[in-house]
Amino acid sequence: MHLPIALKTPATVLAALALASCGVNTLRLEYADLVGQKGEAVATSTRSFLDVVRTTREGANVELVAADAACGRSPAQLRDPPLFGRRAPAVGWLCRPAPNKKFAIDLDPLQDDLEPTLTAVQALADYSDALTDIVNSKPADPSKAVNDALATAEAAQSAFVAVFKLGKGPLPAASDPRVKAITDFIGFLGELQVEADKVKALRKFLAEQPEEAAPTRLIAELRSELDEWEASRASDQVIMETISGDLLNGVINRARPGKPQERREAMTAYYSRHSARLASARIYPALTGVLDAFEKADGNMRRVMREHPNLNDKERAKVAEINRTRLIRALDNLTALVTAFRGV
Amino acid sequence: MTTKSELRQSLVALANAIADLNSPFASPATRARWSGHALHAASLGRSGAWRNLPDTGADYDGTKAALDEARTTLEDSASSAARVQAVLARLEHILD
Repeated sequence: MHLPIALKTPATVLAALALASCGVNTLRLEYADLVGQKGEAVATSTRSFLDVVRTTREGANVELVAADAACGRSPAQLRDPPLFGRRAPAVGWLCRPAPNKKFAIDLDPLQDDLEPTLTAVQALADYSDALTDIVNSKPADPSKAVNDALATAEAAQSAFVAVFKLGKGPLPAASDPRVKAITDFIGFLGELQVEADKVKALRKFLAEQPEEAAPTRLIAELRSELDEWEASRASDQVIMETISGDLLNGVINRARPGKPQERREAMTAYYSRHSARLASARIYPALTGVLDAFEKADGNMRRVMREHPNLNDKERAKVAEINRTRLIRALDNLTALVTAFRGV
Repeated sequence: MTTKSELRQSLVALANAIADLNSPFASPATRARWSGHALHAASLGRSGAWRNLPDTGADYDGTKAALDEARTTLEDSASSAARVQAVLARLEHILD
């Protein structure tokens, strides 16, 4: 049997490769991909939530100024209690001049105030994107080089013949079983190498991250800022519902109740505000769940990225299964090579 | 130790609790009283004054406990209304 020199002891080579490129690398790439996905979910959900925060503030401000022109005369502050019993829309029933700007109603849009949070979200999104890019990078297919060589010039023919000791004569066709066996073998080696290279790139990327950009720090910062924005959102929802309820109370309780259409609109507006307050209270808990999932995924990825990771039972079973499948594939490759070159 | 974030969350929880019990179909006097408290609490909740407040401090603890207590014992009565008003005034003083 005239196997290429590199394949004289293929069983040793393949067994060594199967062991060296153990399934932990596959696990590492899966976890990094998961972090990328969770990070994208965090970025998308957080931006949506901040949009809700911004529009809720604007909605509350609109309600305030629409309900009482005095609320728009800066600096103004809310009355405690509001002056009921006057016929709406009496100016000054809800707001009065504020002695200073400390607790005055702020009618400015929130966009500028949201920027630091949006920057933190972007940093987290960049981190996740980088991980995803590394995991999904497409290196040159090692087996493609073999097929390309078959279709090109004499120089390639010489090199091919020299390397694989196929003897003189025309190049074998791409359909030749020897070529297919070699191509599959190179492809298999290439996959293992690509996997190892990606893990190496991930480790390099993680090591290069500055301390202040570490996800744990970014997440802590984000949680703190989002807590603040949740308080802002919930407060604005209370303001909108309360004003709506006050206007409804005025419509139905005054000596001469409003017209049917007026009562209908006031009732509908109140129910709408009430439902919106209850519904929007569910957004933030869901968002913190997404943040929790990202933090957990990132922690798992960093744990398995170490040289000798401490795997849990489930991970060990998974790695064992990957290795078993890989070894079977290595042996299949070996059988195909031996069969193809037998008698050459 | 209570952080300002926890303090603020207690305040917003109080505002929501008041909004929950503050029926628009109550008498104008009752409605006005509780609306005033809800709006006062919500106004403090959305205030930018929180940004300048230190993150922790022993002074907050009493206020947080009072906020939590006010939220859990809210009733449509004059006594609890006065308690809520006192708690909010105390919080406003801290933020000032």
